[in-house]
Amino acid sequence: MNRTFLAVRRRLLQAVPVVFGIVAIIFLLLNLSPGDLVDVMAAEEQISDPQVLEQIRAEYGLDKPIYVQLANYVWNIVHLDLGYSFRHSQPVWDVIVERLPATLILMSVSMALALFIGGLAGVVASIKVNTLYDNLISVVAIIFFAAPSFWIGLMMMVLFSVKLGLLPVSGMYTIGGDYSLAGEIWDVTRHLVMPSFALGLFYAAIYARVMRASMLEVSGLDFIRTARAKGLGEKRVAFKHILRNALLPVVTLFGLQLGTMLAGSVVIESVFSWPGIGTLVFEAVLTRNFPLVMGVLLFGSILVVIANLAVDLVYMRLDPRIELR
Amino acid sequence: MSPLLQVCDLTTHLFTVEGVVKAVEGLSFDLDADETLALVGESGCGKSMTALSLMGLVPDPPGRIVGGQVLLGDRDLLQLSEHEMQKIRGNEIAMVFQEPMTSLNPVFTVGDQIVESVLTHRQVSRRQARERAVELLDLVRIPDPRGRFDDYPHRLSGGMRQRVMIAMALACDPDVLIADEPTTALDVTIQAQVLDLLGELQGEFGMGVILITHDLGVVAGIADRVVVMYAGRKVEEAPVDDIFASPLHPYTQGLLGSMPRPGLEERLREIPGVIPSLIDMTPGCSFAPRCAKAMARCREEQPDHATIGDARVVACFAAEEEVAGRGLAVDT
Amino acid sequence: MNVTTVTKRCTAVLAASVFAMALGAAPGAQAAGPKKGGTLVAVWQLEPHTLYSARGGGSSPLIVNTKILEKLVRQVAIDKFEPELASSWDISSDYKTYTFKLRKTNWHDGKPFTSADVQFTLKDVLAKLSSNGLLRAIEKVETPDAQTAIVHFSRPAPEYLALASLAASQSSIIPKHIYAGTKYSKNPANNAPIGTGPFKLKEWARGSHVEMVRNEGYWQKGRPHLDRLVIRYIRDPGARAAAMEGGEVLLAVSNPFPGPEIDRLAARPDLVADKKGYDTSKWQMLMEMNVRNPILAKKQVRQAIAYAIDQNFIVDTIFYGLGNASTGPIPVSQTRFYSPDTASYPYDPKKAGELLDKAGYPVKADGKRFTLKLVASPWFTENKKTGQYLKQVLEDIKIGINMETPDRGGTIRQIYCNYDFDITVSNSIASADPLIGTTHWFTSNGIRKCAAFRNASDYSNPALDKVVDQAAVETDPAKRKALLAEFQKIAMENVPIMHLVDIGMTNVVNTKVHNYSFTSQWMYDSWKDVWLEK
Repeated sequence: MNRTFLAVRRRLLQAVPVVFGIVAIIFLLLNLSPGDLVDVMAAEEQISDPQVLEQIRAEYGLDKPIYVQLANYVWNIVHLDLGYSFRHSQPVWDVIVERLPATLILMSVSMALALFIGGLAGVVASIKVNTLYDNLISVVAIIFFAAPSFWIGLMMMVLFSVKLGLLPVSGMYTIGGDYSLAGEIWDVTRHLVMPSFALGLFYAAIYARVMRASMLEVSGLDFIRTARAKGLGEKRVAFKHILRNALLPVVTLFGLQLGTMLAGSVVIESVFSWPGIGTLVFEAVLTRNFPLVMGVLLFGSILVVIANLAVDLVYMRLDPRIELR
Repeated sequence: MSPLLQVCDLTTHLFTVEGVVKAVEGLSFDLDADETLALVGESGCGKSMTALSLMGLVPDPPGRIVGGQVLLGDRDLLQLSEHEMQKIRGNEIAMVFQEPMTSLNPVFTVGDQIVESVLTHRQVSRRQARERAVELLDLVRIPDPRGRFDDYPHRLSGGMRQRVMIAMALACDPDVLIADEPTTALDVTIQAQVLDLLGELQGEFGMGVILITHDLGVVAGIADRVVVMYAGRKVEEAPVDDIFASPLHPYTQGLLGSMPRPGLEERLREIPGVIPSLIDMTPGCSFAPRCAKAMARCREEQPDHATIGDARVVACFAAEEEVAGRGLAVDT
Repeated sequence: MNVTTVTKRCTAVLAASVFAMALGAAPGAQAAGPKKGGTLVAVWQLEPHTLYSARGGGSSPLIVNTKILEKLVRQVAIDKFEPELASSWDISSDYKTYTFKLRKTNWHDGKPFTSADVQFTLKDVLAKLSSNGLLRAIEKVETPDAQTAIVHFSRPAPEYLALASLAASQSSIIPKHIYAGTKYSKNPANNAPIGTGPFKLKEWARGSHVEMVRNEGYWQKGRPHLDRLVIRYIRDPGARAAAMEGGEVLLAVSNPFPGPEIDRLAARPDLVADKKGYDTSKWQMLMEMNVRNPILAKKQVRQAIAYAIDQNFIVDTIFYGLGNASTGPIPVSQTRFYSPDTASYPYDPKKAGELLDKAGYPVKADGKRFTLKLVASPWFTENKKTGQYLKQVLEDIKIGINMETPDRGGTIRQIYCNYDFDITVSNSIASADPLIGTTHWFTSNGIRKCAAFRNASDYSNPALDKVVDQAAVETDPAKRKALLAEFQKIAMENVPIMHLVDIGMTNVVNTKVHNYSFTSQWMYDSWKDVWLEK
């Protein structure tokens, strides 16, 4: 494990320049978009004095050349300062930290659901290959893959909240509800059901397809015949010998999709008014609130780097042939 | 005394989109305890499908056993349910496969895989199973068996892996061991070691061994009896010495002719032609198109198995005539 | 003493109307008397970036802080003002001095509200930051005692303009002890406003909602009726509708859903669609024409383009009939200033073609007269559709159109900073008085680079400027109305900006909610009169 620790440390160190590269690229890309925060604020606040606008630009540091702004930004990041969101009258760090937990909860539950449902569906489809079950799973997977997640979300909302009244329409908790800790957890869980399914089912559909293909591929391999020749039952063959090997492509995909899931959560958070980081960054892009966009993306890239590392560690546990370098 | 394993008229077909492949057609043979029976033929002749049929592991679809009996003791394995068959597999009949490189699960340690075999059929504790596994690793001559126990397959050489496969197969003292081309994928020096090991273990365990091979050289050293297969059928069966001394079937003769043998300086001959398609079988003897001794009858009629003496069987009109000419009793 | 010249006439009239209003009971109050208590959950689409901005900050902060902060005066109808933090006021005969008597009340943090707070807000904040010319003309504010504030303007302040300016949603009085000496844009109170209003901020759960509770020490006895007021942020219209249908949200203001969806919801027994409450805060859709382009500098060309557009088609098809065709920069519903006596441009593509021919732009060999760049802004979803409609009808009269639809930041930069457009689809909001937010779309001093929602057309007409300057200081209401009628006439004759639609505003309200929508800018009212059926 000591070797693993060293490898993890090395990987994290290697990630530092990657993250800074991402920062620089995003910074430059953002600055290619027309308009800046001051334009938007001036429009919202009806500032009519061009001199005032220049003062504000100077105050926000937007009057300097791009490369100076970038250098300043990187310098601040090195000092763990993500800058100030003038729009929110709050440091970027505070703005993000306030909203991050909601997104992390939504994403982790969605991913867990996606892996569990998708994985299980894939395994069942592969065991019952070319039967009614298999076809049914394929059709459902195609529906959830093809239908836009916001539409799925809205339909769930109409069905489960408006028609059946089973679940709260949106938000993360009941406003003004005074609960015990257990009550609060239950309350958030009820609010979490629809958004996490709406976000997770798309990925579940992908995992189901990949899992099925992977299971079928592995089930044709020699060592599976060996397992059968030992006299193992089909369930044990499937869940021990096939599944463990078939998980590898799913885990790979999982690592790759962490980033896209962050993007997908923007849509779902918007539909379900989930107070996460997705809606925040969407708004920030529209208003050219670049320190905040940068902050969120920086968080996001660090999250992806860490998650990928975690995926590699899982991969290593799943497949002894792979070693972390 | 009745034989350990009796195979009667085993017929296994593969139902493919191109048509029905008659992979095994009316195959019969017996196997006694403590005996090594070699199943010999070119690749595609139905040897491996025979092994899978005995194990109840014919891939379905496309394969299916359409007829015959496989008697182990007084049970017909073909009539058993999948669940009952699971109790036989790895327990009473075990199998060693051709490809040691891919036949072990890469994500479990070799020790765990042997332990799994033990635990599947024996009511023992994990610790006892572990001890048994180490014992087996030792038995198949793996140095430092305790150390190797926790190794993953990818850390072992091909020969070592095949030893692990053998250890796994022997885990539950099987009555019958089927070894499907166990040495084909190995280096020549390793081949000899593994074959020696198999021979020794057979004696030690008193198993009936079915050795499937295309290599008559392998047969010579280890087998007691030989069944030669061609295009899904048995064409000749004889004690190993008889096969080498006086092969009856032209195909067997061809096989021997294509085999390098010490002391014989003559040129190796190859059997002309290729194995026929198993889908569109001609009405006559399936070897007839390649046979130098083929007669008109051979192309119209399938030769029956003729028993010659008390231990030999051959399916060939030409061979029958030849033998009859020598004045031996032919019983068809 | 400089209050000797004060006349008493106005207060009585206004106060009388207020009482009439209170006695007559507002619409929706037909059920038995108001009930106390309950939680009203209202929905709004965009979460504000901050809850208070000294410059106004747009509708998202305002809809919240107008419940917490108060103005001196409350506008309840086009012609009716009611005392709020000021209990009464006197106006000097030269209309340069307004004396306000203030209520005795406390800020939410317990500190007393005094004339110093009014002085600070008017002189140090609004006079410096407001885009309203009249508020900028505040010279000084005297505070002879804690309950009196005397406001001196540098020029005569017409009564209606002055009261409308002070009653505007951006003119809330803020506490001096919190803001004085600080950087207004970074004051923590921006995100947790402290006011004198009927509701106190309890919590702003970012990304979710703002929760306000009754101010028990509110100066008006028996108000507010509600225990709690929650504004939830739901960005997606479908999700808003679901929340409304599920009863999680009781009130949605300012066109919360697309037209057909409003009809569907209003058909439910528990919901009503309500179109009142926007008389002095009405959105319009307009088309700016950039006269920097020599082609558009010609009046005939602008008029031709105006003739080419069927405004009723836009209202019926794009707005689903919710609204009416504009006839000029002052919406028809603003009855105090609206003048029908202006040039009008009924849909007539043939005439449009003739005008263009006459102006020297015949159809050329390539089948076009000339090509224009159309920038459709994204503030309303209808804008882009209208842009597509304009492209069609203008191409019908052989004007080539390249349409661009940048996002919010990009549009502001392109239209109001870089002036990189020929025609636009954008929006204005018509306040109570045209001098507050309408005339600067047309006047020469409205041309300010990078100042959005002002004169981006570069249109400059001394005659128009003069009329507007006079209207800014004319204190006789009749003469002032005539001047503003003249403004509309000049504006429509020259059409540098064509107002296309007076957008019909709709609130969707649960039948449990009573006493809503009775002021002329009710969205920004304090909602202290609203009550809920149990």
